[in-house]
Amino acid sequence: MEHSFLLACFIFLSAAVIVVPFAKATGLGSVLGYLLAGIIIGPYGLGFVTDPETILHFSEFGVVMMLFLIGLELQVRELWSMRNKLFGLGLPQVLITALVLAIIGYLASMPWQSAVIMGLGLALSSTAIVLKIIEERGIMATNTGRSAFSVLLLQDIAVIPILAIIPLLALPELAGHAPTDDGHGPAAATEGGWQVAAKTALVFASMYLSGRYLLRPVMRFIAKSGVREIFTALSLLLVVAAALLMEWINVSAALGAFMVGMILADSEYRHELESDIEPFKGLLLGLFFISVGMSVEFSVLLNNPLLIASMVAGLALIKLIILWGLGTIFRFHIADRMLFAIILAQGGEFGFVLFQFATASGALLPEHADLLNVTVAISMVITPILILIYDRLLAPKMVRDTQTEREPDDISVRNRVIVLGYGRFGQIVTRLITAQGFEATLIDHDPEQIDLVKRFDTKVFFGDARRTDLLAAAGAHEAQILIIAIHNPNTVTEIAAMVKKHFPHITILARARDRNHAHELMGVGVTDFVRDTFHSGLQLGIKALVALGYEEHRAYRLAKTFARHDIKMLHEAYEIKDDEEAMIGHARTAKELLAQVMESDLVDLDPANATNWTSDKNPDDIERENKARSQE
Amino acid sequence: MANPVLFVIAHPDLGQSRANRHFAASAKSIEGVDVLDLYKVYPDMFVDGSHERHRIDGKSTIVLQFPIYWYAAPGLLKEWIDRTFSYGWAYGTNGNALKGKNLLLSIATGSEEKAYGPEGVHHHPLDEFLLPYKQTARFCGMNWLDPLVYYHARASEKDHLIAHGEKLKSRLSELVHAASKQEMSHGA
Ligand SMILES: Cc1cc2nc3c(=O)[nH]c(=O)nc-3n(C[C@H](O)[C@H](O)[C@H](O)COP(=O)(O)O)c2cc1C
Repeated sequence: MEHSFLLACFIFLSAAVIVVPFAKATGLGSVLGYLLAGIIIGPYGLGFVTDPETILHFSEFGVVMMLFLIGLELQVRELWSMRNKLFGLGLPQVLITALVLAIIGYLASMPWQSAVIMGLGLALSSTAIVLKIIEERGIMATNTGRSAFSVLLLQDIAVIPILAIIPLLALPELAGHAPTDDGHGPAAATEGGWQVAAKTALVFASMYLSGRYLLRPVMRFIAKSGVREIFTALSLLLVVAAALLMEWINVSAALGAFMVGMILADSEYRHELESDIEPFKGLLLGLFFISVGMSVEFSVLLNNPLLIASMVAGLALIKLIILWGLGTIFRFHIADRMLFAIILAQGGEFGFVLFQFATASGALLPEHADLLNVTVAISMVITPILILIYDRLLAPKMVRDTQTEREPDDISVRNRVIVLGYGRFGQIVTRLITAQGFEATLIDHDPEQIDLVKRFDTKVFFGDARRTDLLAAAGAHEAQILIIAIHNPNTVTEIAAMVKKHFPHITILARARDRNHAHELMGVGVTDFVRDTFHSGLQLGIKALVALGYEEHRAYRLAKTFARHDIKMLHEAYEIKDDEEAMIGHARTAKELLAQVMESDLVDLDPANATNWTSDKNPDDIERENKARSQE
Repeated sequence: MANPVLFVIAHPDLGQSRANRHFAASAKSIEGVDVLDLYKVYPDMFVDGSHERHRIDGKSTIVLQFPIYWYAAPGLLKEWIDRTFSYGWAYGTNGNALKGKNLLLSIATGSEEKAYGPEGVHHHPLDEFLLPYKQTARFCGMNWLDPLVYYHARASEKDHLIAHGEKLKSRLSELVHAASKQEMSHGA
C-alpha cells in the first residue's frame, strides 16, 4: 500500500515535471500540459494509473482551494459591483445555453428530462481551466477576466438549484432506482424544505460569525506562537472545514470555500492565508487536470467517434455563439469578445458531478452519461488548443492597444505602496503618504500591533514579509514602491535583497539602523534609506542649540549642514568600509572637516564680512587693493 | 483691541546684527506694535501662508524691516510675501484684504548714501531698487509710505544709530495713534 502510494506519487510528479514545462515552453500552456500528462499516464496511454476516478475526486479539492483564494481576493463590495455581469452575462448564459442544448437533445430523441439535465450540465464551464488560464494570462483585472469570472461564479451558484431539481426529473421507467445518498444526496427529497432552509441559514450564519469573531483571536493566537507550519495547517483546516460544511448542506464545496474566502477577504491575515494555500492549490489543481486527462474514456470515443466529435464541436460552437452574442450586447471589444467566448466554451467539472448524480437519481441513462462525460472531458482538452489558435491566428489580426481598453470601474486597483512594518516608524511614513490619497498595503508580523492600530481604523495585514510569496500576494508585482520600516536591521537587509531579486521593478525605501546597517543596505543595492534615529536626533540637536542661545534659523542651518556633511561622509566611508585603518583615518578627517564646513556656512551670510558693501569704493578698486595686499 | 501695526523683521542672523537688531528692539518697545521675527518663526523657511494672512487681518500697517542684500530683501521675506499675499486675498477677485492698509519699509544698507548716487558704485538711488515693493503695495491697494532708510549700517556712529531708532519709534507711534483715531471715528 505504502509502496503503491509512493509509486503513484512518483508517476504523477514525474509526468507533471516532464510534460508541463515542455508544454509551457512550446507555448501550449500549463493546462494543456497537465491534460496531456494525464492522457499519457492514463489507462489509454501507458496505463500507469488505472483508477482516475478516485484521484479526480481527491484533486477536485484543488478547485475548492482556488475558489477560496478567489474569495479572499474579492471583497463583498467588489462582488456587488459585479452584479450587472453576474445577472446580465452569467444568468442568460446558463439559461440560454441549457435551453438550446435541451431542445437539441429532445429532438435527438432523448427523454425530455435527460435533455434538460444535459443542457444544464453542459452549460457549465470549467472553473478550474478557465481560472487557471485567466491567472496564467494575468487578465483577472481586465474586462474579459472579470466578465468570465462573473459567468463562472454564477454557474457555481447555479449548481445548487440544479442539484435540487435533478431528483424531480427522474425518468418514469427508471423510477424505483431510488437514489442512495452518496454525498451529493438530494436532501430536498428526504427533508422538508424548511429544514433545508434552516440548516443552510444556520451554516452560513455561523460561518459568517465565526469568520468575523472567532477566527481572528484564534489566528492571532497561532500567529503569536510563531510556528509557521501551524498557520499553514490552520489555513488548510479552514478550507477543509468549509468544504465539509457545504457538503452537509448540499452546496458545492467550491462555492462554500469561495464564501469563506470572501468572509476573510478583509481580514488582516489574508495575505498570509493566500501564500499558505497557494502552493497546495497549484499542485492539486495540476493533479486535477491530470486526472481529467486520464479520465477521457477513449473506449466510448472509439465506439462513437463521429457522434462524440459532433457533440464536442456542437457544444463548443453553441457556447461560442451564445457567449459571443452576450459579449456583443455588453459591447466588448471584438478581441475581448472572442477571447471571452473561447475561454468559456467548454464543459466543466461540475458537469461530471451533475451527470453522475443524475444517473444515480435515475434521471439520466448511464450510456448517455458516458457520452456526456467524454464530451465534457474532450471539450476541456480542446479549450487550451482553441486559445492557442486564438493567440496565434486570430488575435494578431485584431490589432489594438490592450492597455487603454481597461474599464476603470471594474478593476480592483492594487495599491502602489507596500509598507512592511507598521510600528512607530512605519506609521509616520504611511500617514504622510496616505494623507496624499495613496492607498498603502500594510504588513506587520506582530499580532498585538495589528490589533492596536485596528482600534484606529487602520487595516494591517499579518504576515512574514521575508516571504516572496507573501509579498507577491500583497501585490508586489503591481506595486511601485516598497517601504521597509521593520526595526530589525537583519530582516530589513534580507527583505531588500530578496525584493531586488524577485521584484526588480520596485523602488525600495528602507529604514536603516545605523551607519553599518546603511552600508549593508548599500551593499545590496538600496540607495534610498534613512537611519531611523538620525533626523530625530538632529531635531533635538536644534532644540539644544536654541536652548543654548542660538537663533532658530542658525541652529536649523547648522543641523542641515551637519546632516549633509554626515551623509556625504557615510557614502565616502562605504568605499573603504573593508579597510579598518582607512576607516579610522577617514573618521578623524571627517570630524575636522565638519568643523570647517559648519564654519563656512556661517561665513557666507555673515554681515561682519560684508565689508565690501560697507565701503563706498568701487568693487574693482577693492579687488585691486586686495590683490596688492596679498602680494605684500 | 488687537495691535494695529505689524512689524516684520527679516534678518537671517540677528545675533550678528547691529542695526536691524537695534531697530527690532525699538519696535518692540512701542505699544500697539506686533513684532514678527521671520527667521525665528520659520527657521526652515517654510512659511504658513494662511497663518500669516490671519496675522495681518485687522492690522492697519505693515512695516518691513530688513537689511538690503543684493539690492533686495533677504530671501525669506520674499517667500513670506509670495506665500501670504495670495490670490483672492491680496489681489484678484475679492482680493482686497490689504486694501487701505499702510506699507512702510525700514531698511538698512551696508553702503553709504552716496554709493547710491549716480556717481556711486550702485549707480541707482535706493528708491529705484525698492520699486518692486512700491508696486506690490499699489497692486494690492495699499498706501505706500516713505521708506525709512539707514545707510552705512555697520559703520555708522553709535549716536546716529540711536537717533535713527528714535525716529523709527516715533514713526511707529504715529501709525498706532492714527489707527486708534480712525477706529474711534469709525466707532462713532
Ligand atoms: C549677502 C549680503 C548682501 C548684501 N548686499 C548689499 C547691497 O546690495 N547693498 C548694500 O548697501 N549692502 C548690502 N549688504 C550689506 C548689508 O545690507 C548690511 O550688512 C546690513 O544692512 C547691516 O545690518 P545689520 O547690522 O542689521 O546686519 C549685503 C550684505 C550681505 C551679507
